[in-house]
Amino acid sequence: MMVVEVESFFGVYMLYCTNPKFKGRIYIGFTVNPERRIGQHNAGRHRGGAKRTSGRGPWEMVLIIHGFPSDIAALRFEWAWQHPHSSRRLSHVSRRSKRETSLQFHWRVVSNMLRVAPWSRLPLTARWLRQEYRMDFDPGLQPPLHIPIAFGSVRAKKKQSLPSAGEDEDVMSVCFLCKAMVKVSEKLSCFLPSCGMVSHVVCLAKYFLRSEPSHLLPVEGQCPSCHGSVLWGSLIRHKHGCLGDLEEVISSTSQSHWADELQM
Amino acid sequence: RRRPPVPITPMPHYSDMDTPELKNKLSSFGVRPLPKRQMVLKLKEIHQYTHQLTSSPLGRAVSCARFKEPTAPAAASSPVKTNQEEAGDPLSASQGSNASSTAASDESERSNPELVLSSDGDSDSDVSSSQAASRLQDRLQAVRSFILSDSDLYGRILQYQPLVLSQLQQQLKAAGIRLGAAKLVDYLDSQCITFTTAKPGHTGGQAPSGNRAARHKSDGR
Repeated sequence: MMVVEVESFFGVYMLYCTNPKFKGRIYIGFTVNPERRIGQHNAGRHRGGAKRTSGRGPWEMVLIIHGFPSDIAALRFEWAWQHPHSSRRLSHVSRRSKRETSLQFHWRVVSNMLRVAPWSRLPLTARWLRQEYRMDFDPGLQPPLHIPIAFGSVRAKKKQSLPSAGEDEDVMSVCFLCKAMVKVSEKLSCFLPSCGMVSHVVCLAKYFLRSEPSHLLPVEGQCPSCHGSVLWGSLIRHKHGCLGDLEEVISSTSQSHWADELQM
Repeated sequence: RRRPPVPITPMPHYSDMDTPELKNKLSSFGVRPLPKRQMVLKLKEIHQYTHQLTSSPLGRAVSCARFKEPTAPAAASSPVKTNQEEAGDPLSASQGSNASSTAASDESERSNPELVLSSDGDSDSDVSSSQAASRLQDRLQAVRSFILSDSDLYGRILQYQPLVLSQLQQQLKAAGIRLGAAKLVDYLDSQCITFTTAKPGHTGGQAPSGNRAARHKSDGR
């Protein structure tokens, strides 16, 4: 299967212990490089693995939530997933029941997390790295529409530091929305095919937020020029040179939901 | 009135320790070896007991890690509530901000990033709750307007850059907007705006015990 490559990677993963002696034990951790990290865990604490997992493997990295825009955001998510009963935002999540495996419990916790602030508007992806362990979302715990569920491996990739043509400070563009000049530092471009739309970050945010007036952070919207649906997170990643996993998202207003496209 | 941050030691993972290790830890409290499961429970109880929150004279929760005489915790049967995060409003401080700077260290021992240093409480106690609620709404609206009017700040938020909480508090104060840290954090959370309690330029202060700061190779960078 094709491996998706992602720049500026921040992820929080779930490990599953396949050793029957350790009865399906789970470990939650943070990484900027999942392929390297699982190797460290399985190699033990003297080779960079966590003390808690050392000698208690073998471990498989089965699920990873990625797309965090900063390490700080990912680390907070990690802590809350590890300590749902201590986290202020997860007081509604009940403790593990006797009939729940650790895997099921941790899946239930993360399903809840994706639906609440401060995580519900982040440009996250929930990715099952191992299909065998995959679980569906409970009917009542569906993630926000902009959060895709992905399957297959992911690799952290170094950001290309080549400035793209025409990104000169001297070459200024005009904002599609307010018609004023746009400095490079404030500039957002639509990355959809054949669309040259350029605007101020703030102008496009306000445009996207017309349908959500009480919010400050947009989630998705339609390009005012080509009318294609784009995720806010993708626009920002594009601006920052992270081009590896850009995809057009079928917006919630159109007829098909991303879940319909899944190959089961 | 600012209290220095008090790190609350996270509970060690007793359930991951092997039996000899558990025996050693218990014997330091004068407790004899027990069946493994009971040793884990006893150690958790002792940890909770020795890391209680007590009230300061101001009525605010303050954490203290006290080492009790060995016989006392072993005899304690009533469970003591552990408040590693918050007891309600103003929160005990922790170097939660270190989370990012010590990201290279042992991941599972990171302290709670949800803790916030409480600088000034909300002192609206003389006012009725409906008045307080409406006053709060006004202040939140003021914060929102402040952000929208500062295109530098708003631009950074829109690009998901974490805000330095203390800097934002200063800016709000300078703009005449009075909002305590706890309510500000609640608002930022509700807006999914990432913030940090770390001061820029600092590499992080005290590490909680058990933090293996030397392990730079383990995830990360």
